[in-house]
Amino acid sequence: MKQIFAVALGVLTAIGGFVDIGDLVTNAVVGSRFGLGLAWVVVVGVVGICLYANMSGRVAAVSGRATFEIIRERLGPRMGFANLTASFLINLLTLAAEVGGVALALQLVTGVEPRLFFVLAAFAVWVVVWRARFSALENATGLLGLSLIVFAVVVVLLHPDWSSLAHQALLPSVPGSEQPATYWFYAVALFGAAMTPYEVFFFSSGAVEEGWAKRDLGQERLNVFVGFPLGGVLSLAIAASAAIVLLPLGVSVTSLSQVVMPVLHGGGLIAFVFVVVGILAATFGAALETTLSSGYTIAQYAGWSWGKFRRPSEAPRFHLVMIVCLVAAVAILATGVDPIAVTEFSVVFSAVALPLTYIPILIVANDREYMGDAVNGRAVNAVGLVYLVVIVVASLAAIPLMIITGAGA
Amino acid sequence: MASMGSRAVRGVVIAIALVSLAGCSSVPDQLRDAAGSAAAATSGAALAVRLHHTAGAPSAITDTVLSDALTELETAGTDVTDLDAATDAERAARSTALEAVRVATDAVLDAREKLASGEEPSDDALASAAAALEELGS
Repeated sequence: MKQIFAVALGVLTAIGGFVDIGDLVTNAVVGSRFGLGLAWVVVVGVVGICLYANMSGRVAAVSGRATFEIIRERLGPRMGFANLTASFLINLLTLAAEVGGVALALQLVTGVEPRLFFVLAAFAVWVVVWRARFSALENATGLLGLSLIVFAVVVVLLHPDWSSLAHQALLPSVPGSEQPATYWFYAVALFGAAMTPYEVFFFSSGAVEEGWAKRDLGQERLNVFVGFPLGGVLSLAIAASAAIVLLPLGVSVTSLSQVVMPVLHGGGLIAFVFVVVGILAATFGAALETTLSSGYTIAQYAGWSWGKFRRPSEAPRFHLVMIVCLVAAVAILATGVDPIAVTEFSVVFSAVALPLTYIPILIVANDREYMGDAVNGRAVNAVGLVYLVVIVVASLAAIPLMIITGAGA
Repeated sequence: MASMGSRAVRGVVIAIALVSLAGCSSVPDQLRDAAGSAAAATSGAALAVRLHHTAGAPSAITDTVLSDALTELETAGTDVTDLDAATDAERAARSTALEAVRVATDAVLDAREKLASGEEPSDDALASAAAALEELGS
């Protein structure tokens, strides 16, 4: 019974923890401008993150070591440093976006300017990272994040034309009001939102935090291959709700307040309460994960003591890095930049940096010295190589598309 | 070696310039884009006011949407003002767009004031302002 509960908890947490501010905003923007014409990208992104997370989780479980510890050792300090720099900067941008997301979520409830919440949100993140146990932190935000299922409920309550939605999803096309370059820009952004690097750093380091071993690979696979796809369904529901309500009205999403309007329209006040709880949990949970990821990447590369399974006094530099990153995130937001703009840039640059983080994992997952007989099978490698091509193409196309389209304007 | 390196740098600079130029658009296109953004923001504001009336949306969220719409309209207005209109036709189009953005801004401000004072704002003025902007944006 206890084991069933643990398995269920792992899967539910994976579903609820899948969506962050990047997924919320990007899926809503895409739904309001392209309908479900980019649904295929969500599917591609979910398969990609399943592959990516499974490999890195397996590496951590079998080797007992997390991502950056192995990257530096296996690929050398120079390659490791290039990897670290790209990953850390993207992580910092994502952290700023998530802290901004928490503040925007609080604005939905209070009507108070989000900049008044930046410091409070960052402080709350720090307190939870400092005091809460790893599993409590992960489970609480993951379970509360399940409230975002309200998007799927609302899609049904809105009584959409299902055949039209299916047509948009299965026969994607660029609407007459949009440019092909803008369509592909958002395809890259959506892909970047699904495969943000911090998810993998957190997942693999979390495997070490929770003491996963080879015997836990079954649970790990279940979390990834059941939890993440169901989380992907939430992403599609966000896009669908925007497609049903906002697209016909010509409202293209530019703020978090617009993301929740379809939920209000379809489900009223009760649905609104659920969605706000879900958004707060998703953004706060993602802020916790990106904060921890920033500590994990630096500490693992530098060989410092790290982990929430150690007392703070036993890993002082790990905790100091996280504090500095939270301060830096608030400083970015304090410049007055729109948190939504930070979010959009973070998902695009996630796509740019993906090859640097994906390739080392693919190499190590095939290395028998670290993995023994748990190396990638032929099928996984075949899919892995296809995704390598997709990731490199997305990475190369991201910045030119951003320039040509004015960041999707 | 040095000439290969400088050739490579020149190549990158030319590529970036070409990509950047590909993103440039004419004054009518920029006017359409600004009007389109303003129309989207005003439509969103109209929807928020309707939801406040029909779905019991809390005033906090309605006010947030109206506030966000004002920011978008301000940006659109600045974009239109900053356009370098070279011909009389372009100057006339710019004036028309600025007037439409002003009308929409007034409608949003009015809705926000009514909401703050406890009155029920109407979405009629917002819907009509959005329609006028959509016309310009198409």
